[in-house]
Parts: sequence; C-alpha cells; structure tokens
Amino acid sequence: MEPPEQVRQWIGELLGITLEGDSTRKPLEAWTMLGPALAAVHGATVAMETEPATVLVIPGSGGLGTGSETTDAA
Amino acid sequence: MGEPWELTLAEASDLIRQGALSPVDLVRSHLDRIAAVDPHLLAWARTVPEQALAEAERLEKLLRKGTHLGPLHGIPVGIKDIYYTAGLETAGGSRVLAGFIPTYGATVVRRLRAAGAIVLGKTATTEFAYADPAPTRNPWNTDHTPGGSSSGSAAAVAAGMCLGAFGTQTVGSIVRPAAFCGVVGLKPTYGRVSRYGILPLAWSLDHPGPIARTVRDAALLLEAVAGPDPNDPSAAHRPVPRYAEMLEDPLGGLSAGIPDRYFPERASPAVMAAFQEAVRVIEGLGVRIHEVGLPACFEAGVEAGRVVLHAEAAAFHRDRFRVRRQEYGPKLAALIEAGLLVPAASYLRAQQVRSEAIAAMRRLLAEVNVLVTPAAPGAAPEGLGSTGDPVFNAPTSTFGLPALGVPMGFAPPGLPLGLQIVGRHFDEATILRVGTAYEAATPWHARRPAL
Repeated sequence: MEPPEQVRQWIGELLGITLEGDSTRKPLEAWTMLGPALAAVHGATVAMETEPATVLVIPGSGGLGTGSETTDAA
Repeated sequence: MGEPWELTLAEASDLIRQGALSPVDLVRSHLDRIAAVDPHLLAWARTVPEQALAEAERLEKLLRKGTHLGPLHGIPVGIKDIYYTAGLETAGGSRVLAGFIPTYGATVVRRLRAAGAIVLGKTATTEFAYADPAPTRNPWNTDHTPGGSSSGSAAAVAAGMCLGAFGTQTVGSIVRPAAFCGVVGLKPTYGRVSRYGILPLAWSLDHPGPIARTVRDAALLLEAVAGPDPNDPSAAHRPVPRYAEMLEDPLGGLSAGIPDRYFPERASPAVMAAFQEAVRVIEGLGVRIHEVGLPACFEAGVEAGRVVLHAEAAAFHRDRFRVRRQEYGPKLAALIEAGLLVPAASYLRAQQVRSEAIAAMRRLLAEVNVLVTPAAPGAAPEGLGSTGDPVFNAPTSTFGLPALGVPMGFAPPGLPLGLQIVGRHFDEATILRVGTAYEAATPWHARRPAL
C-alpha cells in the first residue's frame, strides 16, 4: 500500500525521518516496515472520527475477548 | 504395534493407563528417535535424556502404586525454548540469553509436569520468536523451512521425536509451522493459556499453544494447561471445558464462513484447489457453508497489529538492545529499531483500531460458528533463510481468535498444506469438533515423512 503524500509526510515526521533523499538504512527500513501499517492505522482512526466513540482496552489487561471493547456512548 | 514413537499421544496415553506401555520404554523410544533423525533436522536446542528417563521411572513407580495422573501421564513432550524451565537453559534461540537458566518454570511447563508429562528438552525457535531463523529443517524435505517461530516444535512432532510440543504464536508461529510440517497446531484464544514465564515477543499478541499429530492430542494438551493463573492477569477467569469429551459431538446445525477476500487472492492455485476440496468435505459433514464479507476494518486491524508488534518488541528489548546490539540477528534488530520510533500516541491508536476490528470480527462470528481458510498461502518455501509468510495467521493473532490448523493435503513435490479453522473467542471446543470430524474424513494426518 502506498499512502497519500500528506500521510507519508506525517508519518515521516512521526518517525523522525525524511522520506526523500534519505540514504541511511535505518529510516528507510523503518519506513518499509512501519509506514504502510501506520498509514492504515491513521486512515482507520480518521474514519473512526465519524463513528461512535471507542473505549480503548489494552489487550493484555484481561479484557480481550471477554467483554465489550466498544460502547455507543459519545 | 510398531515402535512406541509411532503412536499418537492419545494412543500412548491409553496404553499407559492400561499398563500395556511403560513410560520408560516410551521415553527411550523417543530418545532413540531423536538420536537417529535430529542430526538431520536440528529440531532441538537441547535435550535432557537423563532427566527425562529419571522422570519416566518416577512416573512408572507411581503407576505401580496405583496413581495415574491423567491422560498426559508418562507422555514425552517438547517445549519451545522461550518457555522458562526451572534449572534448564532457556536461551530463546538467541546469543543474548545463551546460558540463562531460569529458577522457575512457565505456568504451562509446571502444569504439564503436574499432569505427568515428561519434558524431553527445549525445541528450537527463531531468535526471540521473531524472524531470524532457527537451523531446523522441514522433515518432509530438508531443503525447505519448517516454518517458524515454533520451528523445532512442529518439526519434532512431525518427525516422531515427541508426542506433542508447545509453541507460541504472535503473528503466525503455531498454525503456519504446523501446516508446513503436516501436523496439527492450536492457537487458543488470547487469555485461554497463561503467558507467565514465557519470553515475550509482543505481550498483547503472544499466544501459547500446542502442536500435535492429531486434533485429539492437541485437545488433551490444551486441557492440561488452560485456565486462569494468578501470575498472569491476562489469563481469563473462564472455566476450561473437557475438550476431549466433546470432540465427536455431531456437527449438525453448525455453520462455517468462507471469507470473500484477503485469503483467496493471496493463496497459490495448489492451496486453493486443496482448500475448495476441504470445504466440500466440511459441507459433507453437515456444516452449512456461507461466503462471508470480512469487516471493512479487517485489513486496518491487521496493520494495527503490526504497529503493536513493533512497539511491544522494542519495549521489551530496548535496554538490552542498547548495550548488546551486535548480538541480535538482523531481522530482530530491524524490528526493534523501527519499533523504537513508534510514538506512544500511535501505539495507542493502533490498539484502538485493533479493538474496533476485534469487535467487528465478534459481530461476524455471531453469524457463523467458525471461519475456514487456508493456513498459509502456499507450502513451505525452499531455503532456510525465511520461515515463510504469516499473512493468513496474523488476523487471528491480532484479534485474539482461536485458530486450529489441520493437515489439508499435499502440494507437488510432496509438501504438506494446512487448513485453518477459526472460532469465536473462547470457543476452542467448536473448532476442535470441526477439526476432529475433518481429520476423520481425510487421510492427510496419517501420513508421515520418510526419514
């Protein structure tokens, strides 16, 4: 997946890297490994802005699969 | 009867209970098998033959006194080398932890021992259960990967070196190697099995689970270790069903969903042909088949899991990585370096997206009892530099859903393929029932690699 330019720039800032002309291995590898995933999360959270509020449950705290992770509360 | 190592776990268990098989003979048979074939496969990081034989003798004495600990009494097992084992090195497939000897055992290991299982040793794993491969080779063709990260556990079971083994799955590390090695892999619901005493890769994604030759064997192993654990708050306070007693319940009334996307476009033609035949078999067993639409947030949820994996792995390794960077393999080092760049806000947003996807999958699984998919896009790839693609297993790991992998056939030139049966949260019983019926209707699980 190749995210839109605006999202690319935003993720680049997020990761503390520039995406153009960056020749060091680490930022490029980080982009390859994480860029599309972060873009997908970003896109999903933007979409969620118009949806009912989500209550954050951190899996690992005993909540996953055992109760309601979401609520209709605004 | 052939050699004892040729038995299934359930068969050996019955013979031990009847007094027709000695745990000492069973362990000796497996140790001989390890000596004969493991030099070619490298499935074990280390074995403990003297300790295993001593434990077998102790368990044999208990039997003579009339004490039978249950279906795992005298059963030889392998334990992935990221599970803590008291007094036995736990290196996690790494140079960093080489020589580390825990003073206590993981909850899973303690429960296995209490149930009478005999630990033959530690099975090889990719480095810290990520992607830098173990040296293990696929028993069906040693030029191919056995998959990973539970590489040794799957190969050891497939090659008859133990009757069952434990692995872990954070992305695709139980169901995929099980598929590549032609055995059964069970990734339970997140929280069904305690993670206490297991080296984490990413703690909110890590699932311990068994690998075995048959679905019944996997059910017996799960039953012995599942349940709440005061040492692991994420272990759910839910009753553990007697899975083995429910395996042959009729399937009438059950429905299975076939996902309309994500899987079909990624699977090889050989996998899709075998999968379509598997679906016909399942339908013939009385299960209603429906094509189902995956929720819109499915892919985003899977990607969120990738962000979570990076961040949590980096969090676990950060301090050690700073001072011992050169001792890490290249793939894990890259994961940690990238993960250290993930801001807390992005990690939390990823967990939020993941929660949404979990809720959506729960709604989908309210419509059908199980989902059925191939276990991997293809057979085990050639070469040992990669453990293969976990893309078909990442969703169930990210969403915490239980998944059972069962043998589904073979692709030319004779490498196994796997079927994945996915259930509702904490409904391992239903996927085990479907898996049992499918297994009984097909010949694949009975085939053994020629070694």
